[in-house]
Amino acid sequence: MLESNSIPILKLKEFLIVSIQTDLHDRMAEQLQYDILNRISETSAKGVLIDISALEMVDSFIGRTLADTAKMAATLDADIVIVGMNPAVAITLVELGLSLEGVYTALNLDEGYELLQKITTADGEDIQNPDSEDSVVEDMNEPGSD
Amino acid sequence: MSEKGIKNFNKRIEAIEEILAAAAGGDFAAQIDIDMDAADLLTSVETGINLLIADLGEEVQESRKRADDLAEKLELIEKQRKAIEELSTPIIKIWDEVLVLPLIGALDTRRSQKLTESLLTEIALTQSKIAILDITGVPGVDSAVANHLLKTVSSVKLLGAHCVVTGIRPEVAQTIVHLGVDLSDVETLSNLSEGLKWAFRHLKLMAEARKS
Amino acid sequence: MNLVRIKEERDIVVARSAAKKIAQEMGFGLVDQTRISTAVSELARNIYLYAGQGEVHIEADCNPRSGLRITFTDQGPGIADIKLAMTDGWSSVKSMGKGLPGAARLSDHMEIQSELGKGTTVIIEKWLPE
Repeated sequence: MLESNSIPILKLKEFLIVSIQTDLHDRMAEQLQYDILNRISETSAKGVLIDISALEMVDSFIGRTLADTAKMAATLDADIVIVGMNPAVAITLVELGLSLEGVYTALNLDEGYELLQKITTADGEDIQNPDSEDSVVEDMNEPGSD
Repeated sequence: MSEKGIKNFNKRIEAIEEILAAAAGGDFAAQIDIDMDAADLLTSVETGINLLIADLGEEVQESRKRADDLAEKLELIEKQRKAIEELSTPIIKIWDEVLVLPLIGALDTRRSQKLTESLLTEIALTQSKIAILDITGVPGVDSAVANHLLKTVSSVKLLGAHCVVTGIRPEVAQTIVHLGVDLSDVETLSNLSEGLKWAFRHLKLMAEARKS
Repeated sequence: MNLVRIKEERDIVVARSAAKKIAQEMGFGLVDQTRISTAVSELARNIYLYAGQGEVHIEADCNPRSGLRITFTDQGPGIADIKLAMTDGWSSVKSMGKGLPGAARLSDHMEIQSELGKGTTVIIEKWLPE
């Protein structure tokens, strides 16, 4: 395995794009969290797309790290959308007892991008709160309160 | 002594022991040779043993047959169970990006795991945004079934699609509330046509948001 | 039979990859492979977090049903209250507290033997579908 611990974070306009292409070990996941938060802070990005379609396994540590990163990003005024989770990973995560509540998800990068545009351009304070029930945006793609 | 008047006593006792040993080993075919012309005290014992072993042999054969029948029936049931499992999990693509899963029959852990697996695979394959789970045909919705449904809904959400559960009969609604199952995170509707309306409304909203 | 020694955090990845590979070779479906590698990840991490080091044995074929048996052993502090450790959300160090109960839910069978001050052995089994 390569010693390099960093996963590239690309900037596209006001968004960041991360594609995880390798099996994450714990320190790598923590490093990624740190890097994403730093890039948000540097670039004032409004949203982050994290593509996990290549991840064959998400255990409780990686799951929690992803969910925490989303919460931390929200305090920096950025939304995170997790994109392309494998069916087997989703089933296993739920059986493990993790449903990543409050985290936005999308089927693919296209959908994730559209979702980010919607949640970051929608007016009002509840953009930051995935559990709010009022806005049209939340009604459409909000993860927590369906 | 007791051996008085009994011919070949030791030999005959040995024969009895042999026959009993054979029977104990599962062989009921052998019988004790009895010389009816020279009947004595031991002859009635020998006759009795022969009858007993013959009866036992029949019984054993009978019960073996029953066991075979039972195994055959169990095999048949297993085959039918598999057939039902396959028959009862159709996933219908009813509209672009909308899947319907009409659930029929009891939902146990194993079946709901299989269902979830096929549904999620289909969602990923067709990139469908909405899955409608219709539970009209599921009898006895209890807390276990409700929890299975919750898990399915949660995993659909993780994929980035939406899930709505339809076909909640009034008594099912009552049971769910009585059991204290929290379905507030799940979009539930009374019937499939309401579910379809919900899906279309949803798709329209998304399309409109896309235009703006 | 396959043995992975857990000494550092990266060995967690080695253990789960090895388990997944064997599961795949045995004919487990993709979802079961994922369940297995995730359970191994949780339990191997437990070794790393609680005991510092230990071993993961991965064996194909277990009686009475064919499947995979994975044994996690360490000479760590042991578990004082197994029942409590099996409770969702309970954790004595920085972790989710999903490890043991989560791994149990992902397996078909789980056994735990633990002695305070001596160590812990956790065995999980995943059976091939008939």
